[in-house]
Amino acid sequence: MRARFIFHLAIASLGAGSVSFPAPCAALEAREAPGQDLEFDFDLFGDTPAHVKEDPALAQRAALRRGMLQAHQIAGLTTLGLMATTVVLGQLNFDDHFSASGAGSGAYSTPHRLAAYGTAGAFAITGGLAFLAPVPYEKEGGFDAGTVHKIAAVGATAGLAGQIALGLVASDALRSGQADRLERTADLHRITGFVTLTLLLTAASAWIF
Amino acid sequence: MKRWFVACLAFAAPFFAGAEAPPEAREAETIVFVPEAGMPRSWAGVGTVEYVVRHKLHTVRGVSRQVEIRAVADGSGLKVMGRAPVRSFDSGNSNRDAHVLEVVRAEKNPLVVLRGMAKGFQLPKGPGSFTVPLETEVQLAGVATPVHLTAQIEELASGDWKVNFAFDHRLSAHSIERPKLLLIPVDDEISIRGEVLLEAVHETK
Repeated sequence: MRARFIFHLAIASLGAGSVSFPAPCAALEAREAPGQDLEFDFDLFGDTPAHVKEDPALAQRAALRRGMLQAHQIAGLTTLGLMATTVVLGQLNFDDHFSASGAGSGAYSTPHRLAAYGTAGAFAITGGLAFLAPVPYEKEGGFDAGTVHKIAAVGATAGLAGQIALGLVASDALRSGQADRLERTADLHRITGFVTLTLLLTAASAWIF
Repeated sequence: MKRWFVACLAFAAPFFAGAEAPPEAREAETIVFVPEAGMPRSWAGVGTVEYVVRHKLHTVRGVSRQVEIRAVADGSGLKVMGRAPVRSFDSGNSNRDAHVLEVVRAEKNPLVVLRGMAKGFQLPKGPGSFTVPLETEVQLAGVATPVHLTAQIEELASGDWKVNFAFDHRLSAHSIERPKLLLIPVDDEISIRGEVLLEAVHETK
């Protein structure tokens, strides 16, 4: 019985022997564990620069750009919030003055005007930060999210400039007592406001895609 | 005595099994060898490397097609070195790529470099696929950090290697300030994967 067991063991060992030779990957399992004393100071190319001298001016411009563009993001989102507020207050103001159910109280005029001034100021700061930020690394051309952002921002700039012009026209119509002209201008001002808000939203969300 | 003889046979059997196996079985079994000292083999090639950075609102992939890789295998193991200019990574958005150059301090650290070693590595005798666990050091933004990765290698009949590798890494390991989009920073974890064709270098003396 015992001899038979030993015989079976011999057969089993033969079987194991036939598959126990190392496969390529198995040969690597004997590698040393991480943390071993490995020297990574070799250079198989022979010309890899170990250290490149820093250009302090370029580094400074890069740091300045990062700071300015972080501020640009904050100012841009602030502008977007103020613009949304302005549009809502503007719609309430329009309804107050021109809709059939409007009270004509003028309750929203001052808040709308203040929000508009805030929007214009924040927008100027946002644009200024983007324009004045240094460009330490030249960018490749081509159409990308940055292009969409810039087109939308230029459109929003035109929209805000248009709002100022329409505001002047509306004031003139109000002073001269031209009610129809005032309503038409106010309606156009309202639509331009919504379009400008949409362009600002596009500029902000362009980076997500 | 007879039992002792059978026991010895049992223990010695594996050592003789290879010699007794049929030729086709032997081919599958005897697959590795250690290159002789003084006879290193080397490879050189190019390939692509892709990084994946995740943000709450979207995922960014940047690809470099200017990756150079060299490898040397000798009796002590395998050494690998790869490098790519940080300017060569294209994420499809030039503005974002310029930001990447800023955060990796490209003016001082123009290359991302990977050096890897597999001590005790043994070359396969013939064509086939195998994996190589590598202890590596990734140098990015002027900071070198250890990374463990596993490379999938297919050795072609020509002796060339088709290599695929992937590993996860952290931006913070290289003291990289995480860029923000809409004031939300990207995730610290990034994924790297690459494909390289390494051609066997036949040195002439």
